[in-house]
Amino acid sequence: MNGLVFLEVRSLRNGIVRMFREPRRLVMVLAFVMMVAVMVVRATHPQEISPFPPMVRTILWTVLGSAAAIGLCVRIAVPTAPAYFSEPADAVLLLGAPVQPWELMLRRHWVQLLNFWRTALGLVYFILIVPGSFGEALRVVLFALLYVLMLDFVAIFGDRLRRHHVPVVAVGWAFSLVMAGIAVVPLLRTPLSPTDLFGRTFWFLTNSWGHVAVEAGIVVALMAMNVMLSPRLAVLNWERLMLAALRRQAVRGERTMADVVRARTALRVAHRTFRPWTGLAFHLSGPWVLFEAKLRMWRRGGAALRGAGVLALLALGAGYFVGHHAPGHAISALEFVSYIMILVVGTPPSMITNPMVVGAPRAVPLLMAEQGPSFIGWVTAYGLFWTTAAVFGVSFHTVILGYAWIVALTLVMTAWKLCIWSWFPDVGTRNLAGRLALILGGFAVGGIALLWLLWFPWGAIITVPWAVAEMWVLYRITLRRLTWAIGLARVNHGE
Amino acid sequence: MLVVSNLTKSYGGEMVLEPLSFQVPRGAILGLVGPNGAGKTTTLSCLAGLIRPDGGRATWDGAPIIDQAGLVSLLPESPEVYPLLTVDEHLELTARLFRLGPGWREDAERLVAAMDLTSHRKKLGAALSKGLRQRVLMASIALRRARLLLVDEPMIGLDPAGQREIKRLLAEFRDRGSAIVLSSHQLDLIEELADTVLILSKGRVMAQGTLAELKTGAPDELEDWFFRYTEEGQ
Repeated sequence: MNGLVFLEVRSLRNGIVRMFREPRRLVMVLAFVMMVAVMVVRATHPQEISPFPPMVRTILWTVLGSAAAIGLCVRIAVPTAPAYFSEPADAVLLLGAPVQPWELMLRRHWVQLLNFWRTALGLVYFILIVPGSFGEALRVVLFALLYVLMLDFVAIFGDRLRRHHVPVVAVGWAFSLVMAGIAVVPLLRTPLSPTDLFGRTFWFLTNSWGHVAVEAGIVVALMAMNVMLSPRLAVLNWERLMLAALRRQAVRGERTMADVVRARTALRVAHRTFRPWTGLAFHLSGPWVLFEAKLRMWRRGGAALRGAGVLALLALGAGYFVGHHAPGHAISALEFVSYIMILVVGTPPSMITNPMVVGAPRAVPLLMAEQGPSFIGWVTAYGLFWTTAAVFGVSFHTVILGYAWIVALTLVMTAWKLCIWSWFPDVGTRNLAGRLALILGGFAVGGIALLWLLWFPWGAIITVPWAVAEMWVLYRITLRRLTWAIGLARVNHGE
Repeated sequence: MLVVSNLTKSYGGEMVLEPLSFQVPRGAILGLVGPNGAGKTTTLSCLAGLIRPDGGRATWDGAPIIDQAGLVSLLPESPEVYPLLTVDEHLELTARLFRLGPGWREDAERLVAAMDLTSHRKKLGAALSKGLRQRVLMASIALRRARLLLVDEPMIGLDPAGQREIKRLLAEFRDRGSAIVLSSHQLDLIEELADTVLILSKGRVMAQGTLAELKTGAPDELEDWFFRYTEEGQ
């Protein structure tokens, strides 16, 4: 067997074996079993089994399906792809090996495919629970596959382009202005139909078939921009940039290499905290995760924090109320407000958590430069998501309600975590009460999902593993993130 | 023989390696010493082909080293292994990658025992400590019998037994005819193993020669030379 093939096969095999050996992965195993159960039920009972009218059924399926699919995608992804690929190990163990460049290229793309696989697996699940006919389900999957596939593959090229950071930032700013205009103008136009997806996103185009082709081209182009400038990648780029700056400082003798190593380690931890939100889930919940990170800055002011928590809850209530009556307007408005807040208040998470960036020269201009791409990343991500959905004929409600669910759930979690930070400032260290509160919060969030049990029989199949996983992840991730943030605060501010 | 001539490298317009030239014959060890930021790791990375130098040439027996598959091995300061391969699988991977002959398994067995990896051979890379990762890499490099070995701070993170084994393996490599460039802050290691020493400071060569040459007219201890030469460069 060829050496590289051996590496791929054994890594994959060991990864799968490890996944099933570790007790904490049992949640996923359970989820897989449930998926099979759903598949069997759907195969043997072609008719929907539900006492509810079609609209309610659609809502339930969509909400549960989105949450479960995204949750599973993320949880399946976490233990595999990132651990599998090790560029530094490649640099040492493959150095000098008589392998062809195309083999190495293939290896990189294989990793990309693995990243894609985690999402695809979730989408297979999605097809099982989507409402309506098989044809509609297939359209949903096709649309999502195309969306993610484009993101994955364009990322390869986008990554190369973003190495020329400054020009891309300039493009990002220009693009921000254009897209902001596109987003704002339709909102001001009246009357506006909430379901007029094209009208809101590309209001200047008619909805004829001829233009659909044009729009598809635009979608591809915009996706490229989106990926190049997306917050997830921008964060990574930021870190590379700062590490490079640190290395230069080390070379000049202004810092030691140990500083660089510490920074690199710190950034790895930061990555881990955000890893569960990457991919499709990041694009759906990204603004709120980031918003939450901004609020962390206000943590030292207890009143401000509590105020922010209340605001988040109010936003949740308002979002629910308005969304219930006019989902399109509500989500657009909420998103737009969140963009503005991020733009005004925000700094990328790496800026907050990176100890080496704090106080670094050029931090402010770099920070400013970062905001344009981040902002436009979100604008385009959501716009494109909807637009692509429309191109593939996925119903507006299917997309919007799934998204509303994610936003609502993230808001609840955010509000709860804000309260925890406020009540138990040292929760990340050894505060038992804080930890208990987090666990209870996890149960509360899981409980929201479990409520579906009362309303929809098949909800149990989906929500039980999902809720368990959510509780676990909420506890672990929050704790890790808090430990990290508090530790850094002490380092940075001598607390 | 490794011949490096006028190797230069800059980052963002700042020179981190000024024209650097040296030679390492087969069966010899060049000790690369210098303070933090002197350019030691950059030199090794350039030789390994991980960083593209701005100028200069590095050849092995007259041909560019970058063109010679299987020639160079690098043992970096931060040892990285594949997280989802076991110790045994790392050695098997090396054998497959470098298309080693049928006797590689016996060699691998001997190396696993020599590096005290026997009880860890079924562990995944992700579960190994830094010291164990270092040993896995060393075993892998020893297995493929690289002719040119670039070693960056090999002793960091190793216990005394591991350090002794690394020293033994480096000496074995040298005796087998490999050329070794050994970067280290541990001057006693350099003094013990190196045939020639190159002292770098801020990318400049401050001193270069055999131990005997450098000792001429200098204090007895290598540490004293080190400070004398590097302080000249400040």
